[in-house]
Amino acid sequence: MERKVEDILSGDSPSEDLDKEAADVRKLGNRILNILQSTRSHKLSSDAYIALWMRIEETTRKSVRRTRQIRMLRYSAVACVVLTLSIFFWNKQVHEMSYESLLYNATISQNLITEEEEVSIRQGNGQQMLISDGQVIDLRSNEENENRQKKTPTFNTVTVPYGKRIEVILPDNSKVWLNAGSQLTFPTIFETAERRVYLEGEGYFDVEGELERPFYVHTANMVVKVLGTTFNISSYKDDPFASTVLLSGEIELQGVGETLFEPHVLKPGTAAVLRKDSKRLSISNETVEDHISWRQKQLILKNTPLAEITARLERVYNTDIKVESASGANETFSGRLDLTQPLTNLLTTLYNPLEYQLQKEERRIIINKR
Amino acid sequence: MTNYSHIEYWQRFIQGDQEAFRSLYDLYANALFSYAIRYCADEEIVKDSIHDLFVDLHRYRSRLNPHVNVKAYLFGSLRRKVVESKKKSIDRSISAENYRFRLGLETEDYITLSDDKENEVLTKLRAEMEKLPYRQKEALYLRFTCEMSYEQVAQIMDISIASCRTLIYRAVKDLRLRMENNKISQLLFIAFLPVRKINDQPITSRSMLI
Repeated sequence: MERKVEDILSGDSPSEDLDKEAADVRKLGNRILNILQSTRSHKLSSDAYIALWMRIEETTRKSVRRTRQIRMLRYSAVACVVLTLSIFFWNKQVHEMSYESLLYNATISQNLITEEEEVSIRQGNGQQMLISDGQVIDLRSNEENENRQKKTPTFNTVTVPYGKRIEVILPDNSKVWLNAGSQLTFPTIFETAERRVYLEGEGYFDVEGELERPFYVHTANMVVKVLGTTFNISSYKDDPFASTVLLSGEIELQGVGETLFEPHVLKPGTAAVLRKDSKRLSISNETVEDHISWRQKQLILKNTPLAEITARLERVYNTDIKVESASGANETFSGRLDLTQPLTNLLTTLYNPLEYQLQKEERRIIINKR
Repeated sequence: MTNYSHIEYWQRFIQGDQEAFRSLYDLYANALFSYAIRYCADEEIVKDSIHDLFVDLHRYRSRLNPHVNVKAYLFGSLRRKVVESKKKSIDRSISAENYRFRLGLETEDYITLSDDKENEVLTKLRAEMEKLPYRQKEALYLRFTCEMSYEQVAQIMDISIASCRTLIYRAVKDLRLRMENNKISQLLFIAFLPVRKINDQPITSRSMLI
């Protein structure tokens, strides 16, 4: 009986059997096999491949933690072997992946900025704690206490919602003041060779000088390399610019991703402002105080456009400010705003009550022209 | 690094070896993704499902069978997970809606052969393959693209070996008939055309003549 191509291909060794068949059967059979065998394999992109593994690793680590202690007692010998293996394995990973892990950890929780009501810290073990107003987050003791038993690089993420601000002391004793609507991600223990943190929003840094161990602040648009200085970085997603102001010491700026500019060394008392649309970096010698006045709960204005002022006030007071008439948006102001004052008081200094009417709702102020 | 066979990694992983866990990911992540993305075009659902699969493996590893066919086990488990999350993501849980399998042949760039006639036949064949029922396409993919045995395909698709064989048999028979019909209709079509028009015919028809 004549054998058809479907008889051959549904058999157990189709490619060998095809060779024995008539030309037309062989031809079609081989065509079908070739198409199927040469079809493209859809691989994960290398970023997605790493990110997915880290997600798996993070989830399993969380669930292992609870059962580990019990197991340690019962099979301490076995557990030690597993532990040693894992330390060996993880240490190998740490160096290759520390930067990727930092980026990954920084991006997974950025939604917290708008979702949380209070300042919070999400610690390496996955626990989340809320921090009440005026408290300082001090993580200094960690570096000595946590002996090198840590198998995986774990990360802390401090989230500061709108209307709040916080002081953080990092494991290496560096201090960071985080402004409203910001987030800082950093390892629970810095590596021996370098210190890297990721900032979204605005922070004032006082970095502990360690010549052997440079300090890097990563932001969406640039990296700042530090060797012990005080400086301020503002890199809010919704601002059209990102700025870095140096108070003392020396820092080096580098573009990231699409933002390409020559590495630039900033001198004390200067400010570097990056316009996100033109991707150009401009350096100015203006007094740097107004950039950092938020720390003293002040806002220093120097020909600052009204639109920029209201954007800052929105973040500080966690309130939507809606100006119904477009007029006045280009008006500029100079002077000093006391941010301990109620928002309505500040707005009446900016918007003349004779000309404008303020309508206050919960978390929202609407300004109408009279 | 020592070279272990896949089953050895599996067994070392069950015994608690973290490095073997990572090796399993390295060995199978891309193959699993490549399979599941044909099942569900939503990359996020596929990645979530792979995540859930590996987390479950890790969580229940003491209960895993050390003598399983690793590849078939992983493919089958992922298939269930993708179906589950597709059910969740689209509210309609009509089984036909949730069952999609694309070979993805038509979107690919092919190296064109110098033989125009052969190129035409292959293009036609690819198009016909994509028109096959989903389960037939899946069986073809697992059997020939992933080069699996009937036993493995049966385990993954959760059907008997005989049913697998039938799926492949029907798929190939269908392809043969469609290709033959195609040839005949082309021949008939051209036979009824006035002779002088033959030269104006697009390459498709001409190449089918022979």
